[in-house]
Amino acid sequence: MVELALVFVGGALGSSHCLGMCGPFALALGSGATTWTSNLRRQATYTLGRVFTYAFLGAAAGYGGARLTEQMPAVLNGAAVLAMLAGVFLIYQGLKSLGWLPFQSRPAQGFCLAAGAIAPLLRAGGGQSRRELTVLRDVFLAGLFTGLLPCGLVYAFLALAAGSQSVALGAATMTAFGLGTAPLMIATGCGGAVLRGAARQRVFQVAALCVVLTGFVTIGRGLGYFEIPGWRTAPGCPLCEQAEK
Amino acid sequence: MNDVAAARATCDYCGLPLPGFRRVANSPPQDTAPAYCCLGCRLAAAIVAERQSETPSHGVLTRLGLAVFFAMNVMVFTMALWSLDVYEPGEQLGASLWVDVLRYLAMIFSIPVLLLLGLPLFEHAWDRLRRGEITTDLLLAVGVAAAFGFSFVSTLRDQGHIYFEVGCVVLVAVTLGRWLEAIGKQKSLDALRSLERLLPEQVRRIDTTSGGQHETCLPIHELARGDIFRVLPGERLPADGVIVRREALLDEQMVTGESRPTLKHPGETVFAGSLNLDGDVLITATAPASEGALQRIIDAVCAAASARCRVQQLADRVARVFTPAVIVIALAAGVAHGVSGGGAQGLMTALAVLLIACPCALGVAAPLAIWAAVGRAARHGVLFRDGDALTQLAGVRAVFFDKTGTLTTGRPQVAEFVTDSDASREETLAAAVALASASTHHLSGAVRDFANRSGLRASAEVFNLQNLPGQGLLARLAAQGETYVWGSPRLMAAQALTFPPTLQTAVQQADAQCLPVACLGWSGQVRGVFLFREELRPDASAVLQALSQQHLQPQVLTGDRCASAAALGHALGVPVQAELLPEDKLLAIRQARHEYGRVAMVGDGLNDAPALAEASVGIAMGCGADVSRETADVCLLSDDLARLPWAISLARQATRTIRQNLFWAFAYNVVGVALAATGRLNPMWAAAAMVVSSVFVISNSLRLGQEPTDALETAAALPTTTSVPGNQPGAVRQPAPVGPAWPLPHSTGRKSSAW
Repeated sequence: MVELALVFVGGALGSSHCLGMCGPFALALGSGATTWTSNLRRQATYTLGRVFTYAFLGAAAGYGGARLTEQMPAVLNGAAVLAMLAGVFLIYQGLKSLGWLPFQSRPAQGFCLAAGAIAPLLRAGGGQSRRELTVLRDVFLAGLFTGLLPCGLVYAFLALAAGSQSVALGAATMTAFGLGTAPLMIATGCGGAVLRGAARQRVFQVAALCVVLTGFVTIGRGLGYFEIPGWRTAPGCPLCEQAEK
Repeated sequence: MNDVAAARATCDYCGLPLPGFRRVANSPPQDTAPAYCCLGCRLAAAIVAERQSETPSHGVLTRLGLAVFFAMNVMVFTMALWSLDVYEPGEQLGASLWVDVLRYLAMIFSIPVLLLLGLPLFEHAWDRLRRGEITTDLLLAVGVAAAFGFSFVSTLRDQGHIYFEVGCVVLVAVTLGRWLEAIGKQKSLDALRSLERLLPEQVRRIDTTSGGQHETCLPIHELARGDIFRVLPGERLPADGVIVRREALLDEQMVTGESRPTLKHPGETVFAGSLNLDGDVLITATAPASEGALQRIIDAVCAAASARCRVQQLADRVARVFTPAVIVIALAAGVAHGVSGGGAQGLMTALAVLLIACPCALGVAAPLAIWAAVGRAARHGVLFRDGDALTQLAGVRAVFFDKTGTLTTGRPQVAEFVTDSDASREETLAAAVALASASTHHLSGAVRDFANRSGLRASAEVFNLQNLPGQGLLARLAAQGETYVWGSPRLMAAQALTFPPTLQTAVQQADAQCLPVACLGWSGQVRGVFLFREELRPDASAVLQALSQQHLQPQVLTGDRCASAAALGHALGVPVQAELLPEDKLLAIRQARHEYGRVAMVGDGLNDAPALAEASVGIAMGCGADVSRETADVCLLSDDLARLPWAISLARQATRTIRQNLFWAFAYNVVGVALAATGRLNPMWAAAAMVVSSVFVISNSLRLGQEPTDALETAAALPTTTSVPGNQPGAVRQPAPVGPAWPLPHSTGRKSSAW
């Protein structure tokens, strides 16, 4: 699937953002590991936890999308509307990350209750006396909860998952995204800084552009759903063809 | 574009640029609060910070995490199951096989959730039942068990609905709600614990009994009265005491609110919790550590936090009626829907009612907000006696001030130095300083301060000093020179010195305003006159202005005579009631309560105790180590008046939060119960709504305890410029009969030709 590949790339490039946000968590997990293999195990488990949550969210989004389409009045082409909404949202998130929007959304002022959930589990990686399996369990749970942290990139791809209108496809989309974030995150957790400062910002901008691109592709696909007489005389976009099959 | 990108600020957590163009480098940030690019980074920063502190609920968290994992799986299988319903039966080959597989998977994955979270709930409910209490927990447990039982039977019989997802989500939500409550409580008590952590755990006791000096380390609570202990630089004092050897610069801010470190010599009293900045001192304990100054503050704050205030009692009373009512509604709705729509339908309705009406939010609505606010206030040197003090202060309409020691420092200050002619001014001042240096009278101290500010030091030696108690002193500045007379106008007359007309006028006017005066004369004539005033606190008028901006009516009560009080009122721009005895102040407050409703009285808590007690909220200033002043509802540890508008803002914010919380908890319950009882609410949504409601109430409350950055601080910020007459340096003074405006600033060193 072309789209899943694109999502994977989006995740891989987007993980320059993850490094900033979740990188410190990955480093914290590794602090208690004595050997690099045990650290690798922890990092992989942590990523697994994250990917699991993403997949769950993707499945839920896909299910939600399917139900939403079902509820829509017949005159509206549900699939098309959903795809276009998802596309617009992807473009919005991409532009926001690029800082190309003229306004700034003020991050919500709130008290972080999530801190109480994730912090102790992250700390679990620091203790050396504990059994490896216990540590891995906690690390997995830390990943599970980390996946729930609010993240514009995740939301963007969730919109895509909703557009898929299927539990399985939704989960697949988000799994591809999660796996895309894995390489950089695991490398960071194991070896420390892979990308620093300016380089990270540049890669992040490319990722944001990627998201914008995905948004346009999705909107194009949504437009393809409208069966307008004469529209298809020109050869259709390959992605749309793919999506319709 | 590049320039803009370079100038853009970056997220304080992840280092990526902040979205939007608003924050650029050349426009200074509004506040020093960290800026984050997204909510995610804000949360992540909090998580990283959190790693420093301990959380005791690790076991519960692991259970919850694993249960969340299994519940997520159950949800996915259920969603897949539901989406199979979209197709017509038989349309897809193998659909029915899929249905069976998914139902079994859902069952298998829901068993761990039941074991992990269901068992503790059942145990808890059973425990309460054995004590004869029927709780919502019991009904929840029964409902969840029924949902699971029903679903097991359906799965095994291959027919009927399954409700595994409902059971799982309900269990997760209930546990999550309880856990969040625990975290919330722990966080709101953090402020109190941070005070406790200031006291050292060990103390170095010096044993002098065996002749030499022997040092032993022992736990702080073993220190007894009379023990000598040693405190090194950088350490906090473990107990109250008196310095016996060497001296040290102590930072007593935590205890007395005094922000400047003070040098303490042997024989001086020091307080537990003070920070030793530079000296290696030996101290005799005058009280065990458990009775030290800091401990008293901590005790006061803890007592305040634990006292059940009126709002809370109201919430409790409501909850007592509410819980049985909910149980009845749930059972009734369950039976009604069960009869009309089958057992499963009835069960789901009853569960939804129970979940939505779970009074968790109600239980924490008031206490969490109060703890958070009281703890935060304590960190800023404001002690509330209880939650009621907090809510009362928020509702205050007028604030009355005692003058001496509250609006003024209680120390006199030279207001005016008048000489007969310009030429002799310097000489007169020099002589006055020399004589004042020989005197211990507090007015002499003010003269020395005045001279210091003018850059003059006493250099002349004093001979043949003759003290006349209550009048002044006589001395010579040279061995064979003139005799100088320094003291009251009466002494001048007694020494047959005559007043030139300017000085005569000055003294008469000072008399009319009851200002203290000191005169200096020699060779048959009075040469200079000092007029004194009480020194207003530098921020007094700014604070009064800030209070007016908070729509409060500040007023001053004083025992001063009318003329003096009028000048004070003129300077501060507030009404002043003068010539009041302590009992008159009490009457004034009583009168004001009729007029305004709730009033606050600010005083030093000593001579104005009756008035403080009579006011709705008594606020004592500069309590320092003496937090046990019983009459005050609020203690400001320091003399810093600016804490007052801040405390009022905080109190208002806290009260607003409590009201929001209670309103939310009630409104949500009423609407939710109505929806649920009519069978329009799936228990899963009810459970989710319950968690959201708890999160709202808890985070709303905890925000109170968070340090600044928001509107609260800016509201409390004092105006930087004031337009109080007489406070402006260089203001031209008129020879008005009422005299100069109050207060006289430090710039009165100029000669006043007006007198």
